[in-house]
Amino acid sequence: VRPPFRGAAVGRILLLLSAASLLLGPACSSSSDAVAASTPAPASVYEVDLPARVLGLRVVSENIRANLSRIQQSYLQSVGLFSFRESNDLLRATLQVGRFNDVADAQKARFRDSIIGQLGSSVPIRLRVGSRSVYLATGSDQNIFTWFDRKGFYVLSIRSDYPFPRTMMRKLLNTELLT
Amino acid sequence: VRRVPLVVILALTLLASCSPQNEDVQELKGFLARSELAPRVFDYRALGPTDEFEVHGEVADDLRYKMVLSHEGRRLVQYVVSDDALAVRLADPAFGKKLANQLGHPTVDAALREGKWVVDPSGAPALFKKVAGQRGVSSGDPFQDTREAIRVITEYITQARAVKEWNLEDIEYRPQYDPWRYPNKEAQEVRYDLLRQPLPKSEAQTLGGQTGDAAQIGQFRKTSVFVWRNRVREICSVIDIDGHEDIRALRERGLRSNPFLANLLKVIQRKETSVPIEPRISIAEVGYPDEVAVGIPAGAVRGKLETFVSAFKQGVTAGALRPTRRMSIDECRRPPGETPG
Repeated sequence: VRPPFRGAAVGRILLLLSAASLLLGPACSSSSDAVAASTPAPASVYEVDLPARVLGLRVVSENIRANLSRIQQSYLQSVGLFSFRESNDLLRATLQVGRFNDVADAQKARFRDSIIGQLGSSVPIRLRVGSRSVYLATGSDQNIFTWFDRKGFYVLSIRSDYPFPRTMMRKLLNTELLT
Repeated sequence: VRRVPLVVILALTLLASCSPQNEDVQELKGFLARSELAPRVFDYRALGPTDEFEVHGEVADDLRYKMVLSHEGRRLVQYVVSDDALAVRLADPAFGKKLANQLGHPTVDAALREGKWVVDPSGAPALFKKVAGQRGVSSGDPFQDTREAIRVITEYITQARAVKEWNLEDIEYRPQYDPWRYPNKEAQEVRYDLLRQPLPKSEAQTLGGQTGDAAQIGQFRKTSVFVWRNRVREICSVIDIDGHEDIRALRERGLRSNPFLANLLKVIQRKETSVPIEPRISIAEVGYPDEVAVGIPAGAVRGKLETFVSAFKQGVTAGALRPTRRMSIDECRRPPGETPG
Protein backbone atom coordinates (compact mmCIF):
# COMPACT_ATOMS: atom_id res chain seq x y z
CA VAL A 1 0.00 0.00 0.00
CA ARG A 2 1.40 3.33 -1.01
CA PRO A 3 1.67 5.82 1.83
CA PRO A 4 -0.51 8.91 1.66
CA PHE A 5 1.02 11.52 -0.54
CA ARG A 6 3.66 13.62 1.09
CA GLY A 7 2.49 16.95 -0.22
CA ALA A 8 -0.39 16.85 2.22
CA ALA A 9 1.88 17.86 5.06
CA VAL A 10 3.17 20.80 3.08
CA GLY A 11 -0.41 21.74 2.43
CA ARG A 12 -1.14 21.76 6.13
CA ILE A 13 1.69 24.20 6.67
CA LEU A 14 0.36 26.41 3.94
CA LEU A 15 -3.08 26.30 5.48
CA LEU A 16 -1.74 27.09 8.90
CA LEU A 17 0.37 29.97 7.71
CA SER A 18 -2.36 31.30 5.54
CA ALA A 19 -5.03 31.23 8.16
CA ALA A 20 -2.91 32.50 10.98
CA SER A 21 -0.48 34.91 9.50
CA LEU A 22 -1.19 36.00 5.98
CA LEU A 23 -3.66 38.66 7.03
CA LEU A 24 -4.88 38.83 3.49
CA GLY A 25 -7.58 36.30 4.10
CA PRO A 26 -7.65 32.53 3.79
CA ALA A 27 -5.53 31.40 0.89
CA CYS A 28 -6.19 27.68 0.91
CA SER A 29 -9.27 25.84 -0.13
CA SER A 30 -8.73 22.64 1.74
CA SER A 31 -6.27 20.50 3.59
CA SER A 32 -5.87 16.81 3.90
CA ASP A 33 -6.02 14.41 6.82
CA ALA A 34 -3.28 12.35 5.31
CA VAL A 35 -0.22 11.75 7.44
CA ALA A 36 3.29 12.26 6.21
CA ALA A 37 5.32 9.21 5.44
CA SER A 38 8.31 9.99 7.61
CA THR A 39 9.33 12.36 10.35
CA PRO A 40 11.35 15.29 9.09
CA ALA A 41 12.68 17.90 11.43
CA PRO A 42 10.21 20.51 12.66
CA ALA A 43 10.02 23.54 10.45
CA SER A 44 11.52 26.73 11.72
CA VAL A 45 11.80 30.29 10.61
CA TYR A 46 14.68 30.64 8.23
CA GLU A 47 16.55 33.71 7.19
CA VAL A 48 15.84 34.40 3.55
CA ASP A 49 17.90 36.69 1.38
CA LEU A 50 15.41 39.49 0.74
CA PRO A 51 16.17 43.19 0.31
CA ALA A 52 14.86 45.66 2.88
CA ARG A 53 12.49 47.11 0.29
CA VAL A 54 10.83 45.71 -2.80
CA LEU A 55 9.15 48.16 -5.20
CA GLY A 56 9.18 50.69 -2.39
CA LEU A 57 7.41 48.35 0.03
CA ARG A 58 9.00 47.60 3.37
CA VAL A 59 9.88 43.93 3.83
CA VAL A 60 9.14 42.60 7.31
CA SER A 61 9.95 39.12 8.58
CA GLU A 62 6.88 37.88 10.45
CA ASN A 63 7.12 35.80 13.59
CA ILE A 64 5.47 32.45 12.92
CA ARG A 65 7.18 30.33 15.54
CA ALA A 66 3.99 29.85 17.49
CA ASN A 67 2.20 28.49 14.42
CA LEU A 68 5.06 26.25 13.40
CA SER A 69 5.32 24.64 16.80
CA ARG A 70 1.97 22.95 16.16
CA ILE A 71 3.25 21.18 13.09
CA GLN A 72 4.73 17.81 13.93
CA GLN A 73 5.47 16.44 10.50
CA SER A 74 6.40 18.18 7.32
CA TYR A 75 8.57 18.00 4.26
CA LEU A 76 10.09 21.35 4.90
CA GLN A 77 13.33 22.05 6.59
CA SER A 78 12.32 25.61 7.30
CA VAL A 79 9.64 28.15 6.58
CA GLY A 80 9.73 31.91 6.47
CA LEU A 81 6.93 34.40 6.14
CA PHE A 82 7.51 37.93 4.99
CA SER A 83 5.14 40.82 4.61
CA PHE A 84 5.39 43.73 2.18
CA ARG A 85 4.02 46.93 3.64
CA GLU A 86 3.46 50.52 2.62
CA SER A 87 5.03 53.27 4.71
CA ASN A 88 1.73 53.57 6.63
CA ASP A 89 2.00 49.84 7.47
CA LEU A 90 -0.71 48.85 4.99
CA LEU A 91 -0.15 45.23 4.05
CA ARG A 92 0.14 44.69 0.30
CA ALA A 93 1.53 41.18 0.01
CA THR A 94 3.07 38.26 1.82
CA LEU A 95 5.68 35.78 0.72
CA GLN A 96 6.02 32.32 2.18
CA VAL A 97 9.35 30.66 1.56
CA GLY A 98 9.64 26.97 2.30
CA ARG A 99 12.89 25.08 2.09
CA PHE A 100 12.44 21.40 1.32
CA ASN A 101 14.17 18.78 3.40
CA ASP A 102 15.69 15.55 2.12
CA VAL A 103 12.42 13.65 2.41
CA ALA A 104 10.57 15.86 -0.03
CA ASP A 105 10.31 14.70 -3.63
CA ALA A 106 10.82 18.25 -4.76
CA GLN A 107 11.57 17.39 -8.36
CA LYS A 108 8.50 15.20 -8.79
CA ALA A 109 5.62 16.81 -10.63
CA ARG A 110 3.13 14.95 -8.46
CA PHE A 111 4.64 16.36 -5.30
CA ARG A 112 4.51 19.87 -6.69
CA ASP A 113 0.99 19.41 -7.99
CA SER A 114 -0.17 18.45 -4.52
CA ILE A 115 1.11 21.78 -3.22
CA ILE A 116 -0.28 23.82 -6.07
CA GLY A 117 -3.65 22.15 -5.77
CA GLN A 118 -4.10 23.39 -2.23
CA LEU A 119 -3.55 27.05 -2.97
CA GLY A 120 -6.33 29.49 -3.60
CA SER A 121 -9.96 28.91 -4.36
CA SER A 122 -9.60 28.59 -8.13
CA VAL A 123 -7.92 26.00 -10.30
CA PRO A 124 -4.36 27.32 -10.68
CA ILE A 125 -3.26 28.49 -14.11
CA ARG A 126 0.24 27.70 -15.26
CA LEU A 127 2.09 30.75 -16.57
CA ARG A 128 5.43 30.94 -18.26
CA VAL A 129 7.49 33.81 -16.87
CA GLY A 130 10.88 34.01 -18.48
CA SER A 131 11.90 30.39 -18.73
CA ARG A 132 10.12 29.33 -15.54
CA SER A 133 6.69 28.12 -14.61
CA VAL A 134 4.57 30.10 -12.16
CA TYR A 135 1.14 29.01 -10.98
CA LEU A 136 -1.54 31.60 -10.45
CA ALA A 137 -4.61 31.05 -8.31
CA THR A 138 -7.06 33.47 -6.83
CA GLY A 139 -8.08 33.65 -3.20
CA SER A 140 -10.44 36.00 -1.45
CA ASP A 141 -9.46 39.39 -2.77
CA GLN A 142 -5.94 38.28 -3.58
CA ASN A 143 -3.84 36.71 -6.31
CA ILE A 144 -1.56 33.86 -5.33
CA PHE A 145 1.58 33.16 -7.35
CA THR A 146 3.52 29.97 -6.60
CA TRP A 147 6.81 28.77 -8.00
CA PHE A 148 9.49 26.24 -7.21
CA ASP A 149 13.20 25.82 -7.49
CA ARG A 150 15.53 23.03 -6.49
CA LYS A 151 15.64 24.19 -2.88
CA GLY A 152 12.11 25.11 -2.05
CA PHE A 153 8.86 26.75 -3.00
CA TYR A 154 7.51 30.26 -2.82
CA VAL A 155 3.96 31.47 -2.32
CA LEU A 156 3.39 35.13 -3.04
CA SER A 157 -0.06 36.39 -2.04
CA ILE A 158 -0.85 39.87 -3.29
CA ARG A 159 -3.90 41.97 -2.54
CA SER A 160 -5.98 42.37 -5.65
CA ASP A 161 -5.94 46.17 -5.35
CA TYR A 162 -2.14 46.35 -5.50
CA PRO A 163 -1.30 47.86 -8.90
CA PHE A 164 1.99 46.04 -9.63
CA PRO A 165 1.51 42.35 -8.79
CA ARG A 166 3.26 40.94 -11.86
CA THR A 167 6.23 43.27 -11.49
CA MET A 168 6.64 42.21 -7.87
CA MET A 169 6.31 38.54 -8.74
CA ARG A 170 8.92 38.75 -11.51
CA LYS A 171 11.31 40.66 -9.27
CA LEU A 172 11.08 38.00 -6.55
CA LEU A 173 11.16 35.18 -9.09
CA ASN A 174 14.44 36.51 -10.45
CA THR A 175 15.96 36.84 -6.98
CA GLU A 176 17.77 33.88 -5.46
CA LEU A 177 15.92 33.86 -2.16
CA LEU A 178 17.24 30.62 -0.71
CA THR A 179 21.01 30.55 -0.74
CA VAL B 1 -21.32 -18.45 -20.78
CA ARG B 2 -21.32 -18.20 -24.57
CA ARG B 3 -22.12 -14.54 -24.25
CA VAL B 4 -18.92 -13.77 -22.39
CA PRO B 5 -16.60 -13.95 -25.41
CA LEU B 6 -19.08 -11.87 -27.36
CA VAL B 7 -19.11 -9.20 -24.67
CA VAL B 8 -15.33 -9.24 -24.50
CA ILE B 9 -15.05 -8.91 -28.28
CA LEU B 10 -17.59 -6.10 -28.27
CA ALA B 11 -15.74 -4.29 -25.49
CA LEU B 12 -12.42 -4.72 -27.25
CA THR B 13 -13.96 -3.42 -30.46
CA LEU B 14 -15.29 -0.36 -28.67
CA LEU B 15 -11.97 0.21 -26.97
CA ALA B 16 -10.15 -0.14 -30.24
CA SER B 17 -12.41 2.40 -31.87
CA CYS B 18 -12.23 4.87 -28.98
CA SER B 19 -8.65 4.83 -27.80
CA PRO B 20 -7.02 6.37 -30.87
CA GLN B 21 -9.35 9.37 -30.61
CA ASN B 22 -8.55 9.77 -26.92
CA GLU B 23 -4.89 9.57 -27.79
CA ASP B 24 -5.35 12.25 -30.42
CA VAL B 25 -7.02 14.58 -27.90
CA GLN B 26 -4.22 14.11 -25.42
CA GLU B 27 -1.58 14.53 -28.10
CA LEU B 28 -3.12 17.73 -29.37
CA LYS B 29 -3.55 19.14 -25.87
CA GLY B 30 0.10 18.36 -25.23
CA PHE B 31 1.17 20.18 -28.38
CA LEU B 32 -1.01 23.17 -27.51
CA ALA B 33 0.46 23.37 -24.01
CA ARG B 34 3.98 23.01 -25.34
CA SER B 35 3.36 25.77 -27.88
CA GLU B 36 1.94 28.13 -25.29
CA LEU B 37 4.99 27.67 -23.09
CA ALA B 38 7.44 28.71 -25.81
CA PRO B 39 8.53 32.17 -26.95
CA ARG B 40 6.78 32.67 -30.27
CA VAL B 41 5.88 34.99 -33.09
CA PHE B 42 2.57 34.80 -34.88
CA ASP B 43 0.28 36.29 -37.45
CA TYR B 44 -3.40 36.11 -36.59
CA ARG B 45 -6.10 37.05 -39.05
CA ALA B 46 -9.83 37.18 -38.51
CA LEU B 47 -12.74 37.98 -40.74
CA GLY B 48 -16.34 38.30 -39.60
CA PRO B 49 -19.41 40.19 -40.79
CA THR B 50 -18.50 43.32 -38.83
CA ASP B 51 -14.74 43.20 -38.48
CA GLU B 52 -11.59 42.21 -40.31
CA PHE B 53 -8.13 42.51 -38.87
CA GLU B 54 -4.64 41.13 -38.83
CA VAL B 55 -2.34 41.10 -35.84
CA HIS B 56 1.37 40.40 -35.90
CA GLY B 57 2.61 39.47 -32.46
CA GLU B 58 5.70 38.47 -30.54
CA VAL B 59 5.38 36.70 -27.20
CA ALA B 60 8.32 36.54 -24.80
CA ASP B 61 6.26 34.93 -22.06
CA ASP B 62 2.74 35.11 -20.67
CA LEU B 63 3.33 38.55 -19.18
CA ARG B 64 5.40 40.15 -21.93
CA TYR B 65 4.23 40.44 -25.51
CA LYS B 66 3.80 42.98 -28.25
CA MET B 67 1.35 43.19 -31.13
CA VAL B 68 0.61 45.33 -34.16
CA LEU B 69 -2.97 45.60 -35.36
CA SER B 70 -3.56 46.13 -39.06
CA HIS B 71 -6.73 46.56 -41.07
CA GLU B 72 -6.73 45.91 -44.79
CA GLY B 73 -2.97 46.26 -44.97
CA ARG B 74 -2.76 49.47 -42.94
CA ARG B 75 -1.02 49.41 -39.55
CA LEU B 76 -3.28 50.98 -36.94
CA VAL B 77 -2.21 50.30 -33.37
CA GLN B 78 0.96 49.08 -31.68
CA TYR B 79 0.41 47.40 -28.33
CA VAL B 80 3.01 46.30 -25.78
CA VAL B 81 2.40 44.56 -22.48
CA SER B 82 5.27 44.17 -20.05
CA ASP B 83 4.18 42.73 -16.71
CA ASP B 84 1.78 45.33 -15.25
CA ALA B 85 2.46 47.99 -17.86
CA LEU B 86 0.61 48.62 -21.11
CA ALA B 87 2.08 50.82 -23.84
CA VAL B 88 0.12 51.90 -26.90
CA ARG B 89 0.91 53.86 -30.03
CA LEU B 90 -1.43 54.83 -32.83
CA ALA B 91 0.58 53.88 -35.90
CA ASP B 92 -2.17 55.59 -37.88
CA PRO B 93 -3.23 58.59 -35.78
CA ALA B 94 -6.25 59.07 -38.05
CA PHE B 95 -7.61 55.83 -36.59
CA GLY B 96 -7.99 57.66 -33.27
CA LYS B 97 -10.70 59.84 -34.84
CA LYS B 98 -12.75 56.74 -35.54
CA LEU B 99 -12.65 55.76 -31.89
CA ALA B 100 -13.60 58.80 -29.83
CA ASN B 101 -13.26 62.55 -29.57
CA GLN B 102 -11.18 62.17 -26.42
CA LEU B 103 -8.82 59.24 -25.90
CA GLY B 104 -8.05 60.09 -22.29
CA HIS B 105 -6.40 62.83 -20.28
CA PRO B 106 -5.42 65.74 -22.58
CA THR B 107 -1.74 64.75 -22.32
CA VAL B 108 -2.54 61.17 -23.31
CA ASP B 109 -4.95 62.25 -26.02
CA ALA B 110 -2.42 64.63 -27.56
CA ALA B 111 0.40 62.09 -27.44
CA LEU B 112 -1.70 59.39 -29.09
CA ARG B 113 -2.91 61.70 -31.85
CA GLU B 114 0.68 62.73 -32.52
CA GLY B 115 1.66 59.09 -32.96
CA LYS B 116 3.69 58.94 -29.74
CA TRP B 117 3.92 56.02 -27.36
CA VAL B 118 1.89 56.24 -24.16
CA VAL B 119 2.57 53.91 -21.24
CA ASP B 120 0.23 53.13 -18.38
CA PRO B 121 2.40 51.49 -15.67
CA SER B 122 -0.53 49.48 -14.29
CA GLY B 123 -2.70 49.23 -17.38
CA ALA B 124 -1.98 45.66 -18.51
CA PRO B 125 -5.08 43.63 -19.36
CA ALA B 126 -6.25 40.71 -17.29
CA LEU B 127 -4.21 37.57 -17.85
CA PHE B 128 -7.13 35.53 -19.07
CA LYS B 129 -10.59 36.83 -19.76
CA LYS B 130 -13.55 34.73 -18.80
CA VAL B 131 -16.21 34.99 -21.45
CA ALA B 132 -19.79 34.17 -20.68
CA GLY B 133 -21.51 31.82 -23.09
CA GLN B 134 -19.79 30.09 -25.95
CA ARG B 135 -16.48 31.12 -27.40
CA GLY B 136 -16.01 31.58 -31.08
CA VAL B 137 -17.61 34.92 -31.63
CA SER B 138 -15.42 38.00 -31.58
CA SER B 139 -14.75 39.40 -28.11
CA GLY B 140 -14.66 42.90 -29.58
CA ASP B 141 -10.99 43.15 -28.67
CA PRO B 142 -8.67 41.95 -31.45
CA PHE B 143 -5.71 41.89 -29.05
CA GLN B 144 -7.54 39.56 -26.69
CA ASP B 145 -8.75 37.30 -29.53
CA THR B 146 -5.19 37.11 -30.81
CA ARG B 147 -3.62 36.44 -27.44
CA GLU B 148 -6.00 33.55 -26.83
CA ALA B 149 -5.75 32.02 -30.30
CA ILE B 150 -3.98 28.91 -29.03
CA ARG B 151 -5.60 28.69 -25.62
CA VAL B 152 -9.11 28.86 -27.06
CA ILE B 153 -8.54 25.60 -28.95
CA THR B 154 -8.64 23.74 -25.65
CA GLU B 155 -12.13 25.14 -25.18
CA TYR B 156 -13.14 24.24 -28.72
CA ILE B 157 -12.03 20.68 -27.96
CA THR B 158 -14.57 20.45 -25.14
CA GLN B 159 -17.29 21.49 -27.60
CA ALA B 160 -16.16 19.00 -30.23
CA ARG B 161 -17.41 15.44 -30.67
CA ALA B 162 -13.87 14.18 -31.03
CA VAL B 163 -10.37 15.08 -32.12
CA LYS B 164 -8.84 13.04 -34.89
CA GLU B 165 -5.51 13.07 -36.62
CA TRP B 166 -6.30 13.74 -40.25
CA ASN B 167 -6.25 10.70 -42.47
CA LEU B 168 -7.46 10.66 -46.04
CA GLU B 169 -8.37 6.99 -45.62
CA ASP B 170 -10.59 7.66 -42.60
CA ILE B 171 -14.07 6.33 -43.30
CA GLU B 172 -15.61 9.41 -41.65
CA TYR B 173 -13.58 11.90 -43.70
CA ARG B 174 -15.54 13.79 -46.35
CA PRO B 175 -13.26 16.07 -48.37
CA GLN B 176 -16.16 17.99 -49.93
CA TYR B 177 -16.95 19.50 -46.51
CA ASP B 178 -13.33 20.11 -45.58
CA PRO B 179 -12.03 23.56 -46.61
CA TRP B 180 -8.51 23.18 -45.26
CA ARG B 181 -5.27 22.17 -46.88
CA TYR B 182 -3.78 18.74 -46.44
CA PRO B 183 -0.80 18.43 -44.09
CA ASN B 184 2.64 18.29 -45.60
CA LYS B 185 3.47 14.68 -44.82
CA GLU B 186 6.91 14.93 -46.38
CA ALA B 187 7.81 17.57 -43.83
CA GLN B 188 6.20 15.39 -41.13
CA GLU B 189 3.50 17.91 -40.50
CA VAL B 190 0.47 16.49 -38.68
CA ARG B 191 -3.06 17.82 -38.87
CA TYR B 192 -5.65 17.38 -36.13
CA ASP B 193 -9.32 17.96 -36.88
CA LEU B 194 -11.89 18.90 -34.27
CA LEU B 195 -14.95 16.91 -35.27
CA ARG B 196 -18.23 18.72 -34.83
CA GLN B 197 -21.28 17.62 -32.87
CA PRO B 198 -24.17 16.76 -35.24
CA LEU B 199 -27.11 19.08 -35.71
CA PRO B 200 -30.43 17.78 -34.39
CA LYS B 201 -32.74 16.59 -37.16
CA SER B 202 -35.96 16.64 -35.20
CA GLU B 203 -37.52 18.27 -32.16
CA ALA B 204 -37.20 15.01 -30.23
CA GLN B 205 -33.42 15.38 -30.32
CA THR B 206 -33.50 18.73 -28.51
CA LEU B 207 -34.19 19.86 -25.00
CA GLY B 208 -35.62 23.26 -25.75
CA GLY B 209 -36.92 22.90 -29.29
CA GLN B 210 -35.90 25.17 -32.12
CA THR B 211 -35.71 28.32 -30.02
CA GLY B 212 -33.63 26.84 -27.24
CA ASP B 213 -30.04 25.74 -27.48
CA ALA B 214 -30.74 23.40 -30.39
CA ALA B 215 -27.92 24.92 -32.41
CA GLN B 216 -24.51 25.80 -31.01
CA ILE B 217 -21.55 27.53 -32.59
CA GLY B 218 -19.42 24.41 -32.22
CA GLN B 219 -21.72 22.52 -34.60
CA PHE B 220 -20.67 24.87 -37.40
CA ARG B 221 -17.01 25.38 -36.53
CA LYS B 222 -14.48 23.60 -38.72
CA THR B 223 -11.16 23.78 -36.94
CA SER B 224 -7.91 22.11 -37.91
CA VAL B 225 -4.61 22.45 -36.10
CA PHE B 226 -1.36 21.82 -37.96
CA VAL B 227 1.52 20.59 -35.84
CA TRP B 228 5.14 20.50 -36.85
CA ARG B 229 7.98 19.33 -34.64
CA ASN B 230 5.59 18.92 -31.70
CA ARG B 231 4.40 22.51 -31.83
CA VAL B 232 1.41 24.22 -33.34
CA ARG B 233 2.35 25.73 -36.69
CA GLU B 234 -1.04 26.84 -37.96
CA ILE B 235 -4.64 26.99 -36.77
CA CYS B 236 -7.41 27.25 -39.36
CA SER B 237 -10.94 27.78 -38.14
CA VAL B 238 -14.18 28.78 -39.82
CA ILE B 239 -17.75 29.04 -38.64
CA ASP B 240 -19.53 27.93 -41.76
CA ILE B 241 -23.32 27.88 -41.75
CA ASP B 242 -24.03 27.60 -45.46
CA GLY B 243 -21.34 24.97 -45.92
CA HIS B 244 -22.70 22.68 -43.21
CA GLU B 245 -23.53 19.30 -44.73
CA ASP B 246 -27.04 19.18 -43.24
CA ILE B 247 -27.84 22.72 -44.37
CA ARG B 248 -26.56 21.99 -47.86
CA ALA B 249 -28.56 18.78 -48.01
CA LEU B 250 -31.64 20.62 -46.77
CA ARG B 251 -31.34 23.21 -49.52
CA GLU B 252 -30.75 20.57 -52.15
CA ARG B 253 -33.82 18.61 -51.08
CA GLY B 254 -35.94 21.65 -50.42
CA LEU B 255 -36.81 23.34 -47.13
CA ARG B 256 -40.02 21.33 -46.88
CA SER B 257 -38.05 18.10 -46.70
CA ASN B 258 -37.30 18.80 -43.02
CA PRO B 259 -39.46 21.57 -41.51
CA PHE B 260 -37.64 21.28 -38.17
CA LEU B 261 -34.24 21.91 -39.71
CA ALA B 262 -35.64 24.65 -41.94
CA ASN B 263 -36.99 26.44 -38.87
CA LEU B 264 -33.72 25.94 -37.06
CA LEU B 265 -31.93 27.58 -39.97
CA LYS B 266 -34.29 30.54 -39.71
CA VAL B 267 -33.55 30.84 -35.99
CA ILE B 268 -29.84 30.89 -36.78
CA GLN B 269 -30.22 33.43 -39.57
CA ARG B 270 -32.26 35.70 -37.30
CA LYS B 271 -29.50 35.35 -34.66
CA GLU B 272 -32.03 34.04 -32.15
CA THR B 273 -29.87 31.25 -30.77
CA SER B 274 -28.62 31.70 -27.21
CA VAL B 275 -25.27 32.81 -28.64
CA PRO B 276 -25.62 34.31 -32.13
CA ILE B 277 -24.01 32.14 -34.77
CA GLU B 278 -22.23 34.19 -37.44
CA PRO B 279 -19.78 33.21 -40.15
CA ARG B 280 -16.21 33.85 -39.05
CA ILE B 281 -12.78 32.84 -40.25
CA SER B 282 -9.70 32.95 -38.08
CA ILE B 283 -6.22 31.85 -39.02
CA ALA B 284 -3.12 31.81 -36.86
CA GLU B 285 0.37 31.08 -38.10
CA VAL B 286 2.94 30.53 -35.39
CA GLY B 287 6.74 30.45 -35.36
CA TYR B 288 9.17 29.72 -32.56
CA PRO B 289 12.39 31.74 -32.40
CA ASP B 290 14.83 30.94 -29.57
CA GLU B 291 14.18 34.23 -27.89
CA VAL B 292 11.79 37.15 -28.11
CA ALA B 293 12.56 40.50 -26.48
CA VAL B 294 9.71 42.71 -25.34
CA GLY B 295 10.06 45.97 -23.48
CA ILE B 296 8.31 49.28 -22.99
CA PRO B 297 9.55 51.74 -25.64
CA ALA B 298 11.87 54.42 -24.34
CA GLY B 299 10.51 57.93 -24.11
CA ALA B 300 6.87 56.90 -23.82
CA VAL B 301 4.51 59.46 -22.30
CA ARG B 302 3.12 58.25 -18.96
CA GLY B 303 -0.62 58.31 -18.42
CA LYS B 304 -3.73 56.24 -17.87
CA LEU B 305 -4.94 54.29 -20.88
CA GLU B 306 -8.32 53.15 -19.52
CA THR B 307 -10.24 55.62 -21.66
CA PHE B 308 -8.34 54.64 -24.78
CA VAL B 309 -8.83 50.90 -24.16
CA SER B 310 -12.54 51.42 -23.59
CA ALA B 311 -12.89 53.62 -26.69
CA PHE B 312 -10.94 51.09 -28.73
CA LYS B 313 -13.24 48.20 -27.81
CA GLN B 314 -16.34 50.31 -28.38
CA GLY B 315 -14.96 51.48 -31.70
CA VAL B 316 -14.28 47.94 -32.87
CA THR B 317 -17.76 46.84 -31.84
CA ALA B 318 -19.22 49.85 -33.64
CA GLY B 319 -17.45 48.94 -36.88
CA ALA B 320 -14.05 50.69 -36.86
CA LEU B 321 -12.60 47.52 -38.41
CA ARG B 322 -15.48 46.85 -40.78
CA PRO B 323 -14.33 44.90 -43.83
CA THR B 324 -14.56 46.63 -47.18
CA ARG B 325 -13.04 43.82 -49.18
CA ARG B 326 -12.74 40.08 -48.97
CA MET B 327 -9.81 38.78 -46.94
CA SER B 328 -7.64 36.14 -48.53
CA ILE B 329 -7.23 32.93 -46.56
CA ASP B 330 -5.23 31.08 -49.16
CA GLU B 331 -2.66 29.80 -46.65
CA CYS B 332 -5.26 27.55 -45.08
CA ARG B 333 -7.61 26.91 -47.97
CA ARG B 334 -7.07 23.73 -49.96
CA PRO B 335 -6.62 24.49 -53.62
CA PRO B 336 -8.88 22.52 -55.93
CA GLY B 337 -7.40 19.19 -56.89
CA GLU B 338 -4.74 19.17 -54.17
CA THR B 339 -3.46 15.75 -53.29
CA PRO B 340 -1.88 14.82 -49.99
CA GLY B 341 1.80 15.82 -49.90
